[in-house]
Amino acid sequence: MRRTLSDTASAVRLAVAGLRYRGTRSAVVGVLAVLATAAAVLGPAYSRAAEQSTLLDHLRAAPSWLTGFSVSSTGVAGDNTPAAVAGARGPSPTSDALARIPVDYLTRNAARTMLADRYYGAPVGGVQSTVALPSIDGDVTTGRLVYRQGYCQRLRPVEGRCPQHTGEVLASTRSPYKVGARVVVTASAQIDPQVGDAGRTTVTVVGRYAVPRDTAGGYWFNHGYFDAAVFMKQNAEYRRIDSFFGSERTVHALGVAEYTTMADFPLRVESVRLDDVATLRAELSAGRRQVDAAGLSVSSPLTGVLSDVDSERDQVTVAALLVAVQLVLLCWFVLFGVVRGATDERGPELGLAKLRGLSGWRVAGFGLTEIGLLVLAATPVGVAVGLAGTQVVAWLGLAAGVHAELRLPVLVAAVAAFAGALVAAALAVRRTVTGPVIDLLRRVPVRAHRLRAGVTEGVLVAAALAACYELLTGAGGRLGLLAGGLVAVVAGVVAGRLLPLALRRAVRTAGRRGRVPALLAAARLSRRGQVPRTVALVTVAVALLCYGVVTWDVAGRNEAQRAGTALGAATVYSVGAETATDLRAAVRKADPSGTQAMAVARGLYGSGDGTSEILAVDSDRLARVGYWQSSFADVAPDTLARRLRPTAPAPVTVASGPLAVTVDVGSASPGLALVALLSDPHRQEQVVRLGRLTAGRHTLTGTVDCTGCRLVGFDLYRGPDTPAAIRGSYTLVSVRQRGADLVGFAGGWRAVESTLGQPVSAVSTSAKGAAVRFDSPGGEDLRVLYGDTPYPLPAVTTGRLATRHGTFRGPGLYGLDQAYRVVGSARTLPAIGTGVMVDLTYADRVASFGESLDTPLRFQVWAAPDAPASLRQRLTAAGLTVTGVDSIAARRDRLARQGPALALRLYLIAAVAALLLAAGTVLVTAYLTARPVLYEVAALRAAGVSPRLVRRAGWREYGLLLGVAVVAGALAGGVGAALAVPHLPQLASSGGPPPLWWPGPWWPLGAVAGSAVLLAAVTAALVGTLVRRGVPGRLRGPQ
Amino acid sequence: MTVTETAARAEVGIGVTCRGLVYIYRLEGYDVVALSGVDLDIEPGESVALLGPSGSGKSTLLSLLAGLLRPAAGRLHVGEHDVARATPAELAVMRSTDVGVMLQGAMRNLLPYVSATENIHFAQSGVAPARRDALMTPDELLDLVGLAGKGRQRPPDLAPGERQRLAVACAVANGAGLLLADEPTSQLDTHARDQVLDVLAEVRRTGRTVVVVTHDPDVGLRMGRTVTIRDGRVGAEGRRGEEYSVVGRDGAVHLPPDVLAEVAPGTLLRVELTDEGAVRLVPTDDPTKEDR
Repeated sequence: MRRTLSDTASAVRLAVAGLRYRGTRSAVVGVLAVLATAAAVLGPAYSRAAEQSTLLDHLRAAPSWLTGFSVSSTGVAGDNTPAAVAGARGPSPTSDALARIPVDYLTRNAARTMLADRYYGAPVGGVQSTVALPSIDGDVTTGRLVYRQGYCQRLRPVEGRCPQHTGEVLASTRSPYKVGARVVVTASAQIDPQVGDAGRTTVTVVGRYAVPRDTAGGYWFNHGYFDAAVFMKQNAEYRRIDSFFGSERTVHALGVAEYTTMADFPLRVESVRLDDVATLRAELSAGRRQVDAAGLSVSSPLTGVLSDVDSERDQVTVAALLVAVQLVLLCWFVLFGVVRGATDERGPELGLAKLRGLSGWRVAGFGLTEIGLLVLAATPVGVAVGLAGTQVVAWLGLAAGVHAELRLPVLVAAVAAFAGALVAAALAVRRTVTGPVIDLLRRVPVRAHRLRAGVTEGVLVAAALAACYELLTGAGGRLGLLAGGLVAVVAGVVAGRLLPLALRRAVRTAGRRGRVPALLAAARLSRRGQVPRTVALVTVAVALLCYGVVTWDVAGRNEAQRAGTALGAATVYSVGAETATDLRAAVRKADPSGTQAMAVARGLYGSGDGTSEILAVDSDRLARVGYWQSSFADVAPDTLARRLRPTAPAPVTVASGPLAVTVDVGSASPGLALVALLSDPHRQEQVVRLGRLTAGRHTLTGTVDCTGCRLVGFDLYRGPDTPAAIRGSYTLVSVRQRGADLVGFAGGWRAVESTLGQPVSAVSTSAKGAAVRFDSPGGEDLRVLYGDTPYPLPAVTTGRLATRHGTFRGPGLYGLDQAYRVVGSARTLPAIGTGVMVDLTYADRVASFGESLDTPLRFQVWAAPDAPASLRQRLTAAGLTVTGVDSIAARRDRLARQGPALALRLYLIAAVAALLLAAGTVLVTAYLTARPVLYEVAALRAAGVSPRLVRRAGWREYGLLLGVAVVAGALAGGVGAALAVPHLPQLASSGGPPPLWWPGPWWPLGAVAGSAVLLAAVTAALVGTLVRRGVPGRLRGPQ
Repeated sequence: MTVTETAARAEVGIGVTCRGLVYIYRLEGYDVVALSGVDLDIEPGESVALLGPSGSGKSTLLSLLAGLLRPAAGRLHVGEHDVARATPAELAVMRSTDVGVMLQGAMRNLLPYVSATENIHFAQSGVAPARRDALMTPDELLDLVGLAGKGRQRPPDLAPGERQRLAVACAVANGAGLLLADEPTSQLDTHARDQVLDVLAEVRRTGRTVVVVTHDPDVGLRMGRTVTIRDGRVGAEGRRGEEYSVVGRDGAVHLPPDVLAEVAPGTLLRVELTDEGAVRLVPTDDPTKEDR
């Protein structure tokens, strides 16, 4: 035993001494082993960090009500029937009990039941009840009576004070209630008559609050307290006002009513790590069961958010696994080459050990201990470097608070790298140990086992073919994901085999022609054993780099396209403006050049399949300001813009004062009066009564009380003596104000369209005027409209709308039904993707006044990429209120943080690591095998070959060796990328324009150029060393 | 312990027997016969120098004796080891216990990064643990080769002659009864050469058999017996500076170079045994020439 320990200690001592003696080599091999280990751990470490980043990004981006949970109890006060409770073990609580749960009690117990102290912040409790209010302007009016803990600190009374006593409330400034108003509120929920009459109480408004901005998240938890609206229901107009806020007693003062008491628990996002996700889910699930059993309910959208996170995590994990496997394999390959080189270099020492009669095991131990110690020491350092690299990447591109973590997969990867290195060392030592002693002592190179190598290469080719088949046929399976790597390996092996074969003939040719550099280069490349290995390694590295760069670039272009398409322009300002006309005028004032900014209005109407989105653009500026891709449409944006904005008569603006309209009336039912329809700057309808229609030519006059009003058209109003059925004809001859004709009649007048069979006028125009005929049994719409807008409105459509040729009807800019004429189709429209794009000015004019009740019209200003930052100030100065800014860059940043982008970034990191490994390996291999080459060079120098020729030979040799590898690698990387890119997820969600599959020219070319430059630097170092150290004096020393 | 004292720890010398030893180098496309029937007997404890021109096969013969090469034909016994039939493991055992080998170039025998003492330890590490206690200690071996007190120095720090002597110490560190040394005095000055030869003589005095390959006739003179290898055979033998032709088992005799200079190859010789028992070689014309 003591002898064994002594032998072991002696072996370690020898190994340490050997490492120190070969200090430079040991350091270089050690650094390479560190790099290899670091590369191996990069996959799992980065994967973990990316998953954590995805989780944090999702949680941070989601409003608190999506990540937290609410426990609520709903019941009717006074209703003592047992509530229906699923899973209850004991007696069910009564509806009354559920209604009267005190807020504090619910909050406290919900926190305990849901185990909310670990991941959730302080809960906010409250109670509410829907109430009916006295009607306002004849509308049925409803609202809510709400108590919420701490509401007085959150609601800013702009008038009055916070409630201090029961019966006092805060009312919204959007409601008509003034401070001091006493309002009778009645419980509005349906209550069983047996329980009693709906409760009622009177509240006093003691203050008015402004609606807070963050109503969806944070404290308010998206409970819809501020949902004032006017809407139609069963042909009646309803009005809903923002909630009244008062104390808990004030709410319960309603008496018999339905109450919902709730406690909201916001998630403390920063405290959640990936490891906590399972616990979070389990605790939510367990808590939900208990809460349900008590007759209460839990609302937690967090599970949905976590499902989204899981989906992206899967994308990262699959890519990371793939990259990790490729990197570990590459590391093994590198380590095998380096370890074999290092072991071969020690061949004479191992031969000496065999000469001294050491047994095979002891010789192997002697050979392994040194490299084993080196790799063993490199492993923890490599793990640390890998983690540090991951940390740097996390700092640079992942969510704040994400750190590299030392976890089991990282250790497994490190152990795999270490084990691979040891196996490589064992194989190399075995090969050496089994070789003849005399060959070791004489440094005779060990010949490769051709049959074994052939079998290995055959397996690789078969695997590559299978992977490509999977990809091309979409057969599924994970092997397809390895196609890129396998194609690279096969290309490397083939290039490594072909190069020496090709150069054998070059040796003879160069020899015949007396070209020394060519002869030397070809001779070395065709005969040196490590050439195929080096070519294969560099080919694989360059291929991985090109593959990574291409996929990354394609993904980046798709991110840019998705961001640009979703946003519509480089920068988009959300602005507040009263009308589209105001918006357009303000933008034109802020940017008179027309090259920096464009006014945009967007409307989304309908629901489900009937949803239609309208994009109204200032079409003169679309081509210069808007984001556009050639894939969007077959025609250029300026062409589409021209089609959207055909010429039309200018709008007619009337001033305050008399307006004279000459009409030639053929006949007209009695009592009909002609009115002029105007649209004021607020898009309100103004009517100017002109006079009754009687047969003959007359000039009717009315007084306009409106500045800057636009003439929309004319209408006929019935008088008290007008019969139900009316008919007649008249011709509008002139419209004059202050002695000047305002309009021409050559064209552009039209009757309003008939909807639901409404009788309408018939209009024909000539130089004499606009002739109007009408014949209506009643219920008519006889408006005649001035044609300052082409109608049907020209539109560019996408998707199902694009398949409709000619005209179609749909909601207009303000939600009112109108006709469209398709002037172009697009596959994608900026900002809205699918829908209808129209000219803003025409769309605004065509809907002169009025809007649908649910018009979510949004005004934006799109800014060109080169728009200066001062644009925002100019927009503000022009009268617009900027409420938000978004940009393609910001969106790209967000997309770049999604799972697929993070995964593709890992490919790039891995590719760079692979290239560095390859370059390092070329250096180390050259260093380890330098001795005979230096002797050869020294002999050549002694024979009279000049250093210049030696240098040229070296450049030619390494140029061929690495050049072939770079070319083969670039081709293999391109092929691998072409195969794999269409199957790699590049964005987390689908939709948007069709993805791009081709990279731009610069990144791939840059990758190849970068590889070439790096390898040229390696070549320069190697050739310089050859020339510097391969001097004749070396021949006197031992070889 | 002094040199005299270490000499007292005599080892058992190992003899060598070669019979018709043939070795062929198989190269790409052609074979080279390095040894073409060597007959040689070396007695235990004998000191022999193998002489001969470059390419004559003397280093090949040494490699065969060391078990580094396997003969193509013939018999070779080193002590009790039948080298022609031994497995690689048996040859390894032979080298670990009975044969010490010293390669040409001192540094090829040494690990440059450890001390002289550790080099000797390394050389002894092939010996079975049970036998190691019986071996000479590194200090004794260093004393034997005149390097007492230099055990902590590493080979690159030693003078060339010292390195060569350290290589001798390493070669015999396993207690080998046969020391095989390839050109142990090459590239040494006269003083260093003499010191190495003194050490070899000292080794022989311990009872070991010493076989040295050399180009240097003076070395041969110091070794007592010389064996000249010519064209893959034993061409001559020398005793105390006097060179003799050797009659082979097949009756072949290599003529000395000075005789060959007078008698061209192809010359017919009449071999006559004189009354004094001498053998006389008389060049004779071809009697059939006249008939032609």
